[in-house]
Amino acid sequence: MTSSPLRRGAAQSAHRTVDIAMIGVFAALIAVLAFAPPIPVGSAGVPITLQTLGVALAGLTLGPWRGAAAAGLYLALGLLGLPIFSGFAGGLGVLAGPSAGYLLSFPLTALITGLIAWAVLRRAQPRWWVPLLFCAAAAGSILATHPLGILGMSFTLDVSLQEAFLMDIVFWPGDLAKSLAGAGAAALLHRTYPMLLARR
Amino acid sequence: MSRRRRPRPLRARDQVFGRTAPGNGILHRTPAWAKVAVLAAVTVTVLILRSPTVSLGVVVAVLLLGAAAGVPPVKVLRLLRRIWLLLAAVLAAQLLFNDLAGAGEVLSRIIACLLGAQLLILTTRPHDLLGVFRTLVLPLRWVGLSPGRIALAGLVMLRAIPYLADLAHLAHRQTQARGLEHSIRARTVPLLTGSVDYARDTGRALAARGIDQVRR
Repeated sequence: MTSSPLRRGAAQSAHRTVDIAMIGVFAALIAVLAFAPPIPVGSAGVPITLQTLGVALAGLTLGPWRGAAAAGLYLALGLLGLPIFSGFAGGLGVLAGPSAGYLLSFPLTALITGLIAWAVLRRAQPRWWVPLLFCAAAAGSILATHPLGILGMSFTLDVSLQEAFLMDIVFWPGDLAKSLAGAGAAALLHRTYPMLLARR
Repeated sequence: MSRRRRPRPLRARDQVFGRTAPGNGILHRTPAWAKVAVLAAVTVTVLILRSPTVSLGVVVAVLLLGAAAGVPPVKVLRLLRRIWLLLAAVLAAQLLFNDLAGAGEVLSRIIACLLGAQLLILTTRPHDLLGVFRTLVLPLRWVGLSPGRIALAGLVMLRAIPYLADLAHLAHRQTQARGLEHSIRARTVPLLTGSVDYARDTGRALAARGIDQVRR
């Protein structure tokens, strides 16, 4: 098929625009999951919030660069003053709160998760996608979200790193449940839309 | 014959951006960039000084300024009711690891910063904030990113939030109907596929109109 320069340019521009829309919509997805009231999970019915699930989904679905861009857009607009953090809070003031470190880690988390997810989708067999994507989400959370969250809490709450670590442990079981659910949903999505994170 | 069931009232939609306090006071007329700049300065001051007196002073100033601009204090303080769980957790952690004075200092600092931001949120329209955002990301031109495209992504985000909030609510109702309230995955999948569909449709619609950035 011959493709004129004009048509090729139009196709590239359409790809770029869809990428922009993906970044914007996934930033909105993080916001919507942050608003969602805590839901009871498992037979014990422990309530957990879904805020970090959106960040993991951005990395798992869009890959490292677009995922980090979506998380960065969410963070930047929230810090600027849109009421998009959990509890409809917003503005630079959240940097005084205990969640400051967690919020600032989101772009890095999406980047790490996205890098691993991208490698998994390129190399691994589809039947291994769910466990490997779970590892991707868990790695992002262990390497970025929790260390930065602990640092943030020890800074804003005037407690030592050990005490902050103890407070952080509360979030671990919910985090693993969220990573697993996110990996399952993302694997389903990549089977439905194979071109989403194009395997070049 | 069973009687026709009384229709259950629909739950009100989650309000995200309709939270601006109506009015045309002095704060509403101040340009958005000035409010962002003042808020940033106040936040940094409170964070650096870490003194309960200053923090409580900021809280009082915020309430007085809001009242002067026609924003009732109740509207500003409503935020505290939404995040009371977080504040209670902070208080518990402080009493456990620090003393009462430390708890007062940390809590007053958090509340001062959040209430200041709340006043900005209540008196500024989201689209004005996006204009400030586009100006703030102008330096990113030097690393090869287009400020116009970043602002377009921000606009798409503003438009997508109400749609996705409805979708999330619908997904919640669906999981209830299937008895899967406890499954995160059952709740996530429809939201995720809906997001991707919405993004593709939006992207193609924008491309078809030749829009790929927000121009000034």
